[in-house]
Amino acid sequence: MCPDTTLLAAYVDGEVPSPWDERIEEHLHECEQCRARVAQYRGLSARLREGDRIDAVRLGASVARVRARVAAGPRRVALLDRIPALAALGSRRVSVPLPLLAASLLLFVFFAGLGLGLFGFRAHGGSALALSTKLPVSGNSNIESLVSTLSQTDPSQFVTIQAPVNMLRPAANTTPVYVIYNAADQKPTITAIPAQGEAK
Amino acid sequence: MDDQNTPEFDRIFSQNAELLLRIAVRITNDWESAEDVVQDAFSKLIEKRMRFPSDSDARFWLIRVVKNGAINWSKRKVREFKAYEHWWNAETTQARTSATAAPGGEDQNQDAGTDQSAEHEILMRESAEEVREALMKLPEKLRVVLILKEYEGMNYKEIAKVLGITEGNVKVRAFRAREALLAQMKAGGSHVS
Repeated sequence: MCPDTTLLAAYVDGEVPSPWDERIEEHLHECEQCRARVAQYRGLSARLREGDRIDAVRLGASVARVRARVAAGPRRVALLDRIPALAALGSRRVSVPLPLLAASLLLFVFFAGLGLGLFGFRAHGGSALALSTKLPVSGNSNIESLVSTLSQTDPSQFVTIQAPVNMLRPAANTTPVYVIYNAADQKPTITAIPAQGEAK
Repeated sequence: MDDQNTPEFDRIFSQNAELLLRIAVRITNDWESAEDVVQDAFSKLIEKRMRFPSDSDARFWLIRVVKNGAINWSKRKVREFKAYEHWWNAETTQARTSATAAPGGEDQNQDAGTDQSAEHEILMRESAEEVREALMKLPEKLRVVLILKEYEGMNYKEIAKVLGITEGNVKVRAFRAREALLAQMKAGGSHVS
């Protein structure tokens, strides 16, 4: 029975202890197949060494260079190279499917916008939110006055309505007012419509 | 090891520097990176104030550090090379499709008159080169075992200490490395006997 091929490789490396070493040798005399295998392994080793070209002069020069460089102190290594995982990221091609990339970008823009308050979802709502949600339920609101004023303006003009900043909690001695701006020149055209019903 | 000016460091350096450079250059196939990797290993020895029970323990430690550094460098290079290759293949495919039909047949028999002895020499060189290339293509675990065994003449026990694996594992890797090399050579049309 032939020995395992792992054993034959170890035999070529001189790593099989006695008496197994001698027994394999005996077997090789009888078995052509195993002999061919061992010859293959030996041929490979010979070819490997044949292909090895390390120039002794170059090696000596390299040793001297390394010695001088060690004396000069540790090599400066980029942060990326110091951390193998980061270094791997640095030169690795990452392919992301286009739809996934687009979805990620949209999500990023949405959350970034949310964070910056671009969509008007603020915790303590601004004027626009107050105007649309709070005014109709407020008994003191002067929304009728605002609507009647708007109906008297030139319908061909676009206007901007600025609600009072402190409409929900007006300061003690001030009268909060709506200001209507002409959208074209951004100048107030009609001012001081009291928000608390003093207009009439 | 606190200082590179001590006789102890000098001894360890002169005992191991050549060996480490040979191992590094066989893994990376590049002298400059081999020098970097070996320099880093000696610097680490000083920085970490390493102490070893014996000189051979210091050697095993240094080989391990150099081996890891060289393999990391090689991996990075392979990734970069693949990226370039990817780009180049895309470029050449584009060029081929846009180019007109190439003039044919002119250069095909150019080498017909090559001198036979020169041809034999080229074949021998190619064969050794081929084994070397096949070795570079092996998975690192197998390649390192073969480099330490074939080029540095280390035995299984020493290789096991360097790699931190069992001798049995080294034996299996040495066998698999040879089988993988032979398979590659066969696939490439070479005959090893």
